[in-house]
Amino acid sequence: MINQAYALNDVVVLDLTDEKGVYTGKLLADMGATVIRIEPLSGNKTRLIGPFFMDNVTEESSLYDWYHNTSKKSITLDISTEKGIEILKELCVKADILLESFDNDYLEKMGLTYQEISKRNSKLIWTAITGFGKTGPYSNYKTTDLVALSLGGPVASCGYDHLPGNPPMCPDGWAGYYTGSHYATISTLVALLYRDMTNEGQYIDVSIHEAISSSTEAALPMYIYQNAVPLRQTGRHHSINPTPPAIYKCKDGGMIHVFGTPPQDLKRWAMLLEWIQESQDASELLTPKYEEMVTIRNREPDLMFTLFSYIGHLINSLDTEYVFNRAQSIGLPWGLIRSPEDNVADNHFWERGFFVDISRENEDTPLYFPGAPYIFNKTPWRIHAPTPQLGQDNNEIYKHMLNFTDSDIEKLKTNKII
Amino acid sequence: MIFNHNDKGQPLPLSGIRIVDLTWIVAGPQTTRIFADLGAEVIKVEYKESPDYIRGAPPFADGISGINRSGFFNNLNRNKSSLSLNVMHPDGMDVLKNLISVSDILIENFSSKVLERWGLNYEEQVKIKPDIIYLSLSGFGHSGSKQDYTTWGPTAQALSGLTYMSGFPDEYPSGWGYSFLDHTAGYYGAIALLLALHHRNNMGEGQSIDISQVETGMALTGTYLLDYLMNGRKYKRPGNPPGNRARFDIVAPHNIYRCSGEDRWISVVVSNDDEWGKFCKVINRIDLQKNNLFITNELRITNQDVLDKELEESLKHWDAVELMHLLQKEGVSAGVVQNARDRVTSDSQLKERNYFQKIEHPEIGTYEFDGFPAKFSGIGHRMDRSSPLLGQDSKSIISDLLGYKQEDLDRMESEEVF
Repeated sequence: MINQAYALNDVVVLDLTDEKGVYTGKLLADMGATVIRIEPLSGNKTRLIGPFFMDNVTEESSLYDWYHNTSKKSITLDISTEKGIEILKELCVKADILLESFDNDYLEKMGLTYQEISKRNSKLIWTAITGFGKTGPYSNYKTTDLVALSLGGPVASCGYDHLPGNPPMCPDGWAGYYTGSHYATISTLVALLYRDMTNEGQYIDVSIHEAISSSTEAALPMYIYQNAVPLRQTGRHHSINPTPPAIYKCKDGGMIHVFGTPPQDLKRWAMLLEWIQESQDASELLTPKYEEMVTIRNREPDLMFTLFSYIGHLINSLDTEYVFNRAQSIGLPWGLIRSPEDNVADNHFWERGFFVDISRENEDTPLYFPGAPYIFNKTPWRIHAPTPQLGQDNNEIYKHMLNFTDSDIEKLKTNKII
Repeated sequence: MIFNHNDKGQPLPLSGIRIVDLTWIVAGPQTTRIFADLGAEVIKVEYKESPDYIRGAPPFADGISGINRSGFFNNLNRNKSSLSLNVMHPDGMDVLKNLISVSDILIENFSSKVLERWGLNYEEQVKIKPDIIYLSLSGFGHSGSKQDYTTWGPTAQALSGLTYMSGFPDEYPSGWGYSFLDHTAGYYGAIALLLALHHRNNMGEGQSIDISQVETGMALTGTYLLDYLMNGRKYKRPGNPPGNRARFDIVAPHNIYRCSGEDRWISVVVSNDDEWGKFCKVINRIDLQKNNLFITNELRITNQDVLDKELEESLKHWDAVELMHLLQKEGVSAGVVQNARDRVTSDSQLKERNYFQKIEHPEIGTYEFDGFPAKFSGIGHRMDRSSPLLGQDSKSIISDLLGYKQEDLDRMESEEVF
């Protein structure tokens, strides 16, 4: 039996993805896999995505690239050359997983096909991540995060009802590519489990469009079961019928998102009413009609809008942190609306180890990185190494994985293959 | 290892994995939906007095509410079984413990500490099944000062930073129009369980996994967190969020424009001068290509307000679908803002790849379901059972799987244990 401190210690991954799939390799690498980025001599284009450390635009200072390539290794290889593809094939023979996100069957056209390589390594799992999948009329269409989230459905559910005439909105932050990468990771691991049992490899065709289309909650059922397309509403759930605003400004300028209200039990209902009464006369809410909102989930618009106008007044008169903590203390799942950096100030996430210091032993100043998405008690998530510099692992990988000699490597460098 | 097969004769890779599924609402059921689709035996444990909240959530088939009639529930819980159980009754707890003893995974998404109150924390589970894999999905996780806070999708995404990152600058956040983070937390749940299964295959041991839904959202803000940690730059600053324009203003045009017809919109991303020329030709605006205000990407960014006005004027006369195809054929990234109706009825890519599949439900009839977003060469997913009627499998699980005698079954039935 092998000794495994990390869940994927036994797995070697070749990572040829661009921004569409770069997160997949990170998820595997931070769980212990040996993930080797294979980059063109000029570097993966993700190295040019901002923001940059100290605003210094170099291929080693993209914070986007730093975040998405932790725990990986980097080698250079010009796969647009015959020699380069030949070397890539040799690496595929030694690897467990190949991740790629090329358009238009680039690797196949260069001479690397699953059919052929699986004869030399039948255990190889090849995960191809594309905008729309490898087949079908859109298979050569060009995706971007904006276009992926538009075609896939989320954008149609996001927007402003209080600003009529405005377009639907696309959330910032690469959420479309993340969703594709989540499904790529799931699919790859499923194939790995199947391989654990059968020793068989797999070719996987992941469609970002389908991944996003599977992530739109009640929008599909609303159409399929009621032939309805929901309205977009400012900062809150899409809905067939309008619902009261959910975001309210506090005295100090912060914002609270109200949800799970009215609560599901009379105990919390009473505590909410008591709190509302502290700031205003709300005796009309103390009637049986309003109590039905809890007892039989009555959602008559009149009742909902009235209740929420009281809640709005309450929140307007108080500070954000107070509202958040008090609501939570009486079991109301309200949240305050934070900008990403606000979470750095919340001790809770430091206590849980979401932020980790990845500085080397001999460095005095800590280097804090986000962030563990899960806590395992036996096989921990860990940033094993900071993002690799371009080609920093050429010698190690080419010597140890492919048994190249120093002069082999020199020759490849001279010929600009690596 | 013998695998079950789907109706195409493909092996189901997670055959033989049994899951005690104590989850409800969306995030947990999303995790177990993936497992059920890929062949795992997912036993959904529900209490009749308060079954899964989504059973009471619209849309309902034919607009008629009922415990087995929610389309939203049907979509999330296909391919699963249902065991109704009162775990507050000693016999009910006995059944649950016996079920754990023959299962691989236990998953719950209650508020933290619920299972501890039941006397079923991880240590107790291990006594029943030494290699059990236990996954908890909660709002803030099982450690840290906010561990008792509760969240639903919208509040968790508000706290994580994701809500703030969507919308126009100086406006309310438009946020996510639904619980995007319920899907995402569900994906991390699936990734975590697959990792733990691989580790169990290697080492023969199970483990306990703690996921905070808020942290899964924060993981998606990593680049912006680094910008703050490394550069001290906040996301909350003038100009953010960027609306539908490119973050950091790297390319233009990058926006969503109105097209002809009711609520029709198209997303367009032009990433270089070559694409700009092709774009202008397709929309019959050679004058824009020749206009000195727009001849380089830099100029298009500088003059974005004027440019967007011009494009709004031009594109509003176009049919969104026709324009998308014309632009994509020229290599320009463009996509219709598709709602659920578009995806189900007119998306030729989803149609060609058989993304939607029908399943018959015994009470409400046959409906379409979104499929699994990846295709595998040697394995497959199934779409053969609709969501379970509440408690439909109780008797067979208790007697056939767990070996209870008829007299026990009768007694438990009369005491409403299931």
